[in-house]
Amino acid sequence: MNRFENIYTENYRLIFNVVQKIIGNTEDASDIVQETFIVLYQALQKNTRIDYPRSWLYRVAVNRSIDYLKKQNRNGNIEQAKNIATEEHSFETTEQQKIVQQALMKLKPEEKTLAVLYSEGLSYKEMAEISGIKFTSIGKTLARTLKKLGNELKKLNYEMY
Amino acid sequence: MKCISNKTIQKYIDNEISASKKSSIEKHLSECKICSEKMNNMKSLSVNAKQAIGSLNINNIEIPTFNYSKAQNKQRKIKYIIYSLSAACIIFFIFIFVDKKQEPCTETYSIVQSITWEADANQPFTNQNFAIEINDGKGNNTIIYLE
Repeated sequence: MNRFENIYTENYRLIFNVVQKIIGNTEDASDIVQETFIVLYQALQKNTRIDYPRSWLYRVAVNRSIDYLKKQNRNGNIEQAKNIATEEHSFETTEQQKIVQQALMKLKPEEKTLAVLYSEGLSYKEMAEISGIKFTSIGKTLARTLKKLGNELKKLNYEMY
Repeated sequence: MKCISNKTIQKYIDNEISASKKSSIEKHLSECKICSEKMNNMKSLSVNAKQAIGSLNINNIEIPTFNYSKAQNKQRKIKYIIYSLSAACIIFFIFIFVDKKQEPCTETYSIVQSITWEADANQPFTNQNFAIEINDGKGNNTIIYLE
């Protein structure tokens, strides 16, 4: 198995989950993840130095997901995106999961990305590198984002502990 | 110590703070009920948010076979676009160059008005004997007499 295949197998599920949580749609998530790995494949073909493939993949996938969300917003497809997030899952979702998706949809693309990366247990340094937010602003942005998410979850009667 | 900002509390919760700052924060938290309560709320919010977003993880994802031909086609497509653009640029520059070469040469002519003999103000214009001297800039003069 070559280097690319190793990276692909080891990281596919991880990247897929991050993307589908950010965009709230599993079908388009597959396309974004495939495109992300195509970019990696081409970079490796050109002998581009990639020391940390996982961070690299996170960055490309996150940027593409943000572009996707912005395009959806520009095209006025917010309502459509919300419906996809709550109804058209090809994977089974519980009521609680639908509520979380709905609450996430209320966040701005950058806030949503930060919240998802935070839930992945990444450090502030990693989150800054991947999201492009200044390292010194991560704490403040995160506190504000979590508060906003918490309020949305409460409005939708999500069971908090 | 002043009350702690949300940013610092968040960093404290996530263990993203230096050891020296950590001890001073802990000291303040033990003394300030407001900050201590705020810290507990933010900590529970962080745990809940992580758990809520984490619940969206899909476990039974099947990894599809990577489409190598699509990746290679895309690479070829990019090459094709680059080559096409280069060719278009070359054609454009050639066109500009050739077009400039074919431009007709412009020569400067100057018309020097000189009165060869005095006009008679009592006569109409058609009866005046005027001459126009044309200088082509190379020293050649042409005189046209108007009658």
